[in-house]
Parts: sequence; C-alpha cells; structure tokens
Amino acid sequence: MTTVRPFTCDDMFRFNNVNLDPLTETLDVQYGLAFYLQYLSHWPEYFQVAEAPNGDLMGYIMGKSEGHGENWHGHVTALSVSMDYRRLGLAATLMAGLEAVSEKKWAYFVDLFVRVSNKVAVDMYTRLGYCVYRRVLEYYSGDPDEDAFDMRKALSRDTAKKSVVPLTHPVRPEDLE
Amino acid sequence: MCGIPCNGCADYLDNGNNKKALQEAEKLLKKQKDSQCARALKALALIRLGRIEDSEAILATIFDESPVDDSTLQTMTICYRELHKLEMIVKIYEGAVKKEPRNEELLSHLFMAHVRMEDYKSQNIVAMKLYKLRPKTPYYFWGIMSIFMQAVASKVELSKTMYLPLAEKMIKKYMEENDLEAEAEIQLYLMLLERMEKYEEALKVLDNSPLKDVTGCYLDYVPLRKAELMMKLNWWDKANRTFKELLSNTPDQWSYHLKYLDTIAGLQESGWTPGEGEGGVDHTYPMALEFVSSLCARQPTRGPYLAKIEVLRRMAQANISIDEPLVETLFTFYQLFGHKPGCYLDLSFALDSLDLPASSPVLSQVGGVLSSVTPPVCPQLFDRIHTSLQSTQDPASKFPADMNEMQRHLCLIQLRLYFGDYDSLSPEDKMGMVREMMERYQHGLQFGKDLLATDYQWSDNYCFLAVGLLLDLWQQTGSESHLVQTISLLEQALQHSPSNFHIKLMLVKLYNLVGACGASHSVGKTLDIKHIQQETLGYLFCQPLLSVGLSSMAGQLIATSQRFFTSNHKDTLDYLISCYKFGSFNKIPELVTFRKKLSNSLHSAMVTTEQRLHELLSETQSQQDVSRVLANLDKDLQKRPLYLEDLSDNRDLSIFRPWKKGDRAMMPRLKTKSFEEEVLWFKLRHLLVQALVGMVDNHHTGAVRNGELQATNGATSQLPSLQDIIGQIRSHLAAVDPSQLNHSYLPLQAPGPSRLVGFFRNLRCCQLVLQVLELGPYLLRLQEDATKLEEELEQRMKSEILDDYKGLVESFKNKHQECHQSLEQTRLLLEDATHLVETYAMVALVVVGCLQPLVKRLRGTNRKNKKKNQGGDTSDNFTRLCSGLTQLGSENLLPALRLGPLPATLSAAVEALQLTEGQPTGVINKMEASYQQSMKELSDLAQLKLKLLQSL
Ligand SMILES: CC(C)(COP(=O)(O)OP(=O)(O)OC[C@H]1O[C@@H](n2cnc3c(N)ncnc32)[C@H](O)[C@@H]1OP(=O)(O)O)[C@@H](O)C(=O)NCCC(=O)NCCS
Repeated sequence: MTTVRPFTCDDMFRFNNVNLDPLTETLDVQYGLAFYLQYLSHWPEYFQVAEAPNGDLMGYIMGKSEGHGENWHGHVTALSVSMDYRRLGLAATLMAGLEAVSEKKWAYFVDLFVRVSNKVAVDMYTRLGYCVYRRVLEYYSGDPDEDAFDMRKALSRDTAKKSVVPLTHPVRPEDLE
Repeated sequence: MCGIPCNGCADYLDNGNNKKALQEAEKLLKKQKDSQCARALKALALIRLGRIEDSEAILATIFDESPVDDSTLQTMTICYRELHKLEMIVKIYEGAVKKEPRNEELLSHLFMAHVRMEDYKSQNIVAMKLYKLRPKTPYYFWGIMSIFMQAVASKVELSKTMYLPLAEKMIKKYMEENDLEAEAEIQLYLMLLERMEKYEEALKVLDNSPLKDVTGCYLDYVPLRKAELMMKLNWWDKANRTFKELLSNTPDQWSYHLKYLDTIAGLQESGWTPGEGEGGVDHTYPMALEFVSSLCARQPTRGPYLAKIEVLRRMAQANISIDEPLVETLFTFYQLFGHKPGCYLDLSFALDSLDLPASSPVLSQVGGVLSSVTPPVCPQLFDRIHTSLQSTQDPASKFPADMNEMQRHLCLIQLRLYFGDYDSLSPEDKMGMVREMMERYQHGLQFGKDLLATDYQWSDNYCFLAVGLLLDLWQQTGSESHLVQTISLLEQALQHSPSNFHIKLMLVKLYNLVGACGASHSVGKTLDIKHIQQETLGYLFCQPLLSVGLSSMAGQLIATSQRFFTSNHKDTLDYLISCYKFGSFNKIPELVTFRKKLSNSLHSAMVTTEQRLHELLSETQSQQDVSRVLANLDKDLQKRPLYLEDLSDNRDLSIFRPWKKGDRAMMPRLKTKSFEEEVLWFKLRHLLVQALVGMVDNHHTGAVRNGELQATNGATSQLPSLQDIIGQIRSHLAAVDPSQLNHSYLPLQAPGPSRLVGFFRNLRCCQLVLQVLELGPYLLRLQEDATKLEEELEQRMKSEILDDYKGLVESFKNKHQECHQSLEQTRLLLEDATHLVETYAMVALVVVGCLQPLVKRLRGTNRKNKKKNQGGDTSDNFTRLCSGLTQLGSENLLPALRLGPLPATLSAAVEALQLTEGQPTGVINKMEASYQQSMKELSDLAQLKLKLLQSL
C-alpha cells in the first residue's frame, strides 16, 4: 500500500530513510542540494516519491527527458527504495510511472546507468524489459572506479526498436554524448 | 564589450585555483588596464582569497562606470552573491538597463535579480516591461506569477481583494486573445483559481483545456485534480465515481482509498440517495466493502487489503454489523505478506488505527502520558499467527527453515513487543528472551550469506528486538551492564551488516548516552552524512560532542554544516530562478517556503553561535589573537542574519522507529518539548556569546586603536545593551524550572535531553561569568569618575570571583570522586568538567580582552589626574584577580581534570552475556578512548587560557 505522489522540497527533510542507503545515487552533492533542486525545478513530473500509510517515505525516483531527434528519451537518474519496503513491487511501479511520462512525451526510449556490480538492480531492470545497450568504463569514480551498464528499453515510438540494438564495444565516459 | 579574452582566468576560478586566477587577471590588466571584465575577475579572485576589502574597492569603481557588458555583469553577480549583497545585483542591472533600455537580455537579468531578493512587486514591473519589449508569453506569465507570489506573501485580506483578482484579470485578458496551451500557463491558472476557491471554474479548465494531452503530467494528474476539486465542492457522488475509476486502475494507491472512503463519509452525512440514472456511486460502507473486496480478489497487493481493514474500522465505528470478523482480514493480510519485511510496519499501522480513533473515549490520560491500549483484536490475531507458524514449522527444529519463515516469525515478535506483550515479563524472563533473540539472530545470518556489503542482514531485526528488551531491562533494574551489553550486540551486528544505518543510529544514540561521543562520532562518519542530512541529522552529533568538551570533532562537523548552509543559500535562489525559466510555477511557493525553513534553522543558528564561541575561546592565547579573532567574527556576523523568532525544527525523527506503541505515541510531544528546550538553550548561548563579543570587542579594539579616554564615550553608549543582555539572560534563567526539563534518554528514538540540563546543574558557572561581565561597565563608570568606588564590586574583583571559582573546582572534585563506578556518572562528570573549563576560558577572555585594557586606561587617567582612587586600588585588585586566576588554573583546575579507568565489572557484563564473538573489551576501550580524549581537549583548553592570562 503506497501513495505515489510528486516529490516536494519538504520531502528532503525526511528522505533519510531512503537516502542513507549506500547505493542511492546522490552524485557529488557533498554540500549543496543543487542535484535535487535542479530536477525539481526542471522536471518536476519526473520526480516522484512513494509514501507508506504510516507516513514513511518508502522510495523515490528521479529522472528527466533529453536528447534530439531519435535520441529524444527519458532517463532514470536515481531510483531507490528503503530497505524496509523492498520486494513489494515499488521500484517496478515507479519505473512504470516514469516510462508512462516518457511515452506521453513521445520519447523513443528510456535509459539508465547502473553499477555492473549492483546485481539486484541489473536483474530487476532486465526483468522490467531493459537490456544492456553498452558498457561504460569507469563511469563511477571511487576506489577502485567502477564500470556502468547503460541499459535501455524501447518505447512505442521506436517501432523498429532501433534504440536498443547493443553496441559491441564498451565506451569511455567522455565519449557519451 | 570585453576587449580581451578572459577565459583563462575564468577557468582558473572555476577550478578553484584562485591564486593563479589573480595572477592571470593582473596580467590581463597590464595589457589593458581599464578592462572591466578583467577587473571583475580580479575582484572575484580576491573574494575567494579572503581579501574582501580590496575586492570591494574594485567592485565599487566598476559599479560607478555602470557596465553593460554581459561577462562583466555576470562576474559581478557572482561577486555580490558571494559577498551576500544581493541588492547590489539589482543595482548593477538597473544601471545597465538605464543605459540600454531595449536590451532584452539585461532586462531578464534584472528580473532574476529581483527574484533573488524575493521582491515580487519589482519582478512584476520588469516582467511587464519585458513583455512590452518582446511579447513572449512566458514574460507575461512571469508577471502573473509575481503577482501571485505577492498574494502568497501578503496578508490574507490584501491577497483576496487585490492581488489574486488582479492576477486573474491578467489571465482572462490574455485568454481573450490567445488560448492557454502550455502546461505552465494552465498550471498557473489552476493554482490561481484554487487559491481563490473558484473550484468550479478550475474544473472547467481541466475539462476543456488540452492539459489532458499535454505532455509531462504524471499519470492520473487530471482525473485526480478533478476529483479533489469535486470534493471541495461537496460533489461527493461525482468524486466517488472518479476515485472508483482511479482505484480500478491503481488499486494500490493508499491516498485514493482514503479519499474514496471520505467521499462515502460525505455522502452519508449529506443523506445522499441515488436518483434516476445515478448508478455507480458507492454511498454506503457495505458497498465500499464489496468494492474493496473485489479489488483484493484481483491482485494480491497490499493496498486493497489495508483498505479493507480501514473500511471495517469505519464500519465498526459507525456501529454497522459485519459478517466477516476483522481478525480474518488481518490474518489474511499476514498470510499474504508476512514474509516481507514491511509487513510488521503495515500491520502495526493498521492495528494502531484500530484502537484509537481520534474521538474515541477509550483514549485515557494516565499521568499525562497516553496509555497504550492494546486493540482487543490483538490477542486473537497473535494466537492465529502463532498457531499457523507452529503448523508450518518443522517440530524437530526450533529455528525457521528459510528466510520467509523467519520473516513471518519476526513479524509476530515485533508486533508483540510493539503492543506490550513482553512489558510485564520478569527480568529473568526478559533476559531469556534476549538470549533467544540473539540465537535466532545468529541462526538467521545463514540466510544472508550471499548478500553484498551494501545489503542488510535479514535477521538484523532480531538484534533490534534484543536491544529493545535490554534497554527495558536497564530501565527496570538500573544495571548498566545492560547498556554495555546493548552496545556490544549492536557493534557485533554492524560487523555482519556494515551498511545498516539503523544499527549505526542506535549506536550513536547509545554512545552519546554514556558520554562517549567520540565513539558516536566515529560511527557517524560511516553514515556519510551529506548536504541536508547535516540539517536533519546533525543534531545527533554537534551538541553531544560539545557537551563533553570534544570541540575539535564538533568543529569539523560545524564547518561542513556551515558550508552546506552557505551553498544552500545560493542554490535555492538559483533554482528559484530556474523555476521561472522552465515554467515550474507550482514549485515556486514550495521552494520559497523550503528556503525559509532552512534559513530559520535552529540547528544552523546553534552551530553558528557555537562556532563563534569556539573561536573566541579556543583560538586565543594572546591579546593579538583576541583582536584577530574579533576582526574575523564581525564579518561572520554580518554574513548571515540570525532569526531569533520563527526558528524552525528540521530534525528528522521519522528515521527512528519506536519499538513500542507507547513510545510512538509520545514522540510528537517529546519532539515539541525538546524543541522548546533547544530554543531556550540556543537563546541563552546566543546572548552569552553576544555579551562576550560585544564587551570584549568594544573595549578591546577601543583600547588598541585609540588608547584614549575618547574611546570610552563610544563604549559607554554600548553599556545599556550589555546590561540589557545580562538582564535578558537572568530573566531567562529565572523563568525555567530545571526539574521540568526532560532528563530522560529513553525512548532511545526520541531526541533526548537538551544541554540545558547540564547547564542548570552547573548554574553557578554561568552566574560567575555574569558577575565577571558586570565588572566591565563598572570599570567604565570609574573612568568617568574615579572616585565612585563600589565596595561590593571591588570585593568581587579582589577575592570573591577567585573564591567562587575555587569552590566550583572543589565541589566538582568531591562530586566526582566515585564517578568511575558508572557510565552515566562519567557523562555527568565530563559535562560538568566542560562547564568548569568553559567558565574558566570565558573569565580569562573577559579579563584579558576587556578588563585589562580598561584597567590600563584607568591607571593612565589616574596618573594624569594625579588623583589616587581612594580606598584601595582597583588596579591592585585587578592584579590580584589575574594572578589568582593563573594560580587556580595550574594548581586547582588542571589537576582536577583527570579520569581513571572504568571498572572491570562492565566488561565482565559483556562476557556474561556470552553472545558476542568478538572482544568484549572492544566497546569498553572505545568508550575509554573517548573519555580520555574529552579530558585531553579540556585540559588543552585550560592550558591555553592559562597562557592567555600569563600573557598579561
Ligand atoms: C533496486 C531497487 C530499487 C529495487 O527495489 P524494489 O522495490 O525492492 O524492487 P521491486 O519490488 O519492484 O522488484 C521488482 C523485481 O525486481 C527483482 N528484484 C528486486 N529486488 C530483488 C532482490 N533483492 N533479489 C532478487 N530479485 C530482486 C524481482 O524480480 C522483483 O520482482 P518480484 O519481487 O516480483 O520477484 C532497490 O533494491 C534499491 O533501492 N536498491 C538500492 C538503490 C539502487 O541500487 N538503485 C538502482 C541504481 S539506479
């Protein structure tokens, strides 16, 4: 039982329940809130949170739409579900929402980056119909740096499923467009 | 235009290489000494290098030239932003626009400059100018949004009679000639109509506008908005139908269920009955039950089942008889979802809502605390679950066969603990339970063998159950062994589940409880607290560390907190501007409120004050240090205003999950109380620091710069304010009844006691500081008339202060002779020692920073006037005070700051539990290390002040 609703600024005061998870994507936001505020101000419809009946924040998804021509697509920037509310289908629901918004925006596909070691997430995306489009070398900096899978799922506009034909060679982060 | 390429310099600035940037700017200026752009870059580099005055001088000259060049203006914008002079950004663009009134770019920058100032009126004027210049729709709507914000910010009356109608008129005028097409425009129109309570019109907009097909709206946006408007109009039947439809598509959405049921309540209240052709409306609860049951049958998701429980609850409340016993539904829920970790949370929520409907007479007050009433259905439900567990479990084994079975068992025990089933167990039985939980925990680890380090162990919840029981035992028996046991269990669990933040947060709380805040700091570091978390969780670390004298660790945290606040101050404004650019109008009021909450943050105000005090006390070992620190402080003071009223409490307590219903019920009250106490603590602290800064600053700099009596005139005018501050402190002190303060660290999930408790225990320390402060004004009075000796104050200077302080040290020693027997006593000791040393440091600061220069001047005056002040020498008395303080420091205070080892019984307690695999002494060592570190830092501070006094 979940309420999915738009993420609001005030949710940042209490999203610790989700955000203290080490795999949650927070990028390099050591000090500022720019990361979140940027998405809130530009793509509010792509930033949704799931709330439990008892008021807990259970998880959230943030994303955007970008690209030109046949590269016009939805992108998942962060998806995270609190440990206590996993395996309830929440991530699947949030992803379906993001895909629906992208469909409305008439995008060709949805894509995302995920650590190659994050088996749970990679498997989940695969189950949700995503496939590895390419591998991005040392995309995540850290000790050591880690590769990312760039995963994609074609939307209805891409009738020929051109967007998801995998690349044969890995790419470097600086070669991403 | 900027005649020369400035990119190189800008790049250096972007990379934080400010020295290089400065050199580059100077090189550019050699080639072309008037280049505005290069000068602006130089100004920015200077700011980043801390040379504020130089930078301001440059900015002032460019300002006078009123530049119009874009890169110059942008660089100056950054400068003013970093100098917190947002009003200057407005001014430079106003100047530029005056020169080039038809420059769209400049005007839109001026608009953004007004946004930074939250000056809605000027925003509107500029937006309309822009629209006149280039009739682009977004400009027009910027104007309308600005009026809307004027309405939001103004008094209700004015907003209703003036701003909102004005904004509406503007939209209507626009619609006469154009269609509302873009989502942003329609959104704004809807916001406006809703605020004006014109719900029917809003509904029409939703029906007719292309919003349905407009991209970007999330899923059910339009039907949901419509249904909500219908509810506001009391069109219950229509709303009911809409929510039914919505639920048929998304049966798991809790908010839809609640609203659907609310429409039924509305229909019931209004006595609605279906007329001709009005089918499809569920107007009674039995109909709702049927509908929700049909959703349950479709798909096993939690939503419809929880909704069914809610329907049954409402039916019971309305005395409608139910065929199906409630316990059946609850048990079905457990059967379906009991193997998921979230099941306990859902069931405890559902059961909670059952027993205490808001208006229920069952709600009884016992001693001011809400008594927890177990819902009558609980025993039945627990029996059912128990039986089902037994029927599936292998009778030969006492442990579950797999993960799912374990989760099911956990769910039951968690519920039982929550509803108080174990409260009345004897200590022995409780201890037995603890052992069982830990055995089950150990056993359960095998189900998580293959987990990654970033996952949590499935069986961690068993450990939390043991912790809950052990803390109960501690409270019940008073034996601290249970505390140590709790900590070691958690440390052990952390080894197996290194990412579980619940474990870490509990450890933080427990280490704070025993005063080993250094240990909690180490655990805290692994939480990797970032950005807003410093605001929502920082309270767990900063104040506790400071309370036991660990100011260097606290200092690191405070520095990062402050960086967050500064960068946030900038970020929120930047993104407010983005909202206008991208037409995210409904986020604007939200962001403005959010920004206010952050600016008014109590935590931020508190750490700023502590930082100031820390610099004053810990960075001064000579008079030169004192003036240097003061010179820097002043700028800090101006940087960010302190809001004493409207402070906001941004602590996140929701992250802590109480194990017991009774505790959970108390949380809101405890939070409010804690906030009140923290505010009071902050005010006292703030006033004290104000008094110290004001006093030392005036007299010290006065003395250094002028050295003449003239300076005193200026200083005299400050007198009432100091007296006023001392008066305010005294009246705050008098208004508090220390026995009414919260002293309890339990429940562990609550914020715990504020530092006021330790402060009032050491009230004499504060009083002593006030007495020393009062000598300042006295010495000033003497300078005006050296004959006006006041016996009482002379006596104070000569001996009373010394005697008092000596007394404080003595009673500290006596009180804590036996402290090593207990952990809690050790925390008290450290807190007391912190007060003792802080007092010494404050007294030394006032003596050296303020009294000494005044006495020196007094001596000068006396000599000049050849007038000896009769009845003994103020100057002699002061000398006695100084040497007495030095002596007290080295002979009394420093030797008292010692701490022996903890008793062996504590580590024995860990061993006795025989559950921990690792070194039982591990946790004891961690605590000891932190205690010794506290003492070391306190001794260092005392030493430093000794040096300061000796520097005289
Ligand atoms: C990845 C994550 C978002 C999944 O959230 P979730 O709400 O538990 O996922 P769902 O319940 O919607 O799972 C959908 C499907 O994914 C698969 N899946 C999810 N978690 C799984 C796990 N721990 N093990 C195996 N499969 C899993 C399952 O097939 C599942 O369907 P099922 O339960 O019907 O079998 C969550 O684990 C998480 O927040 N991880 C940390 C942050 C992160 O890694 N984010 C992704 C990086 S972009």
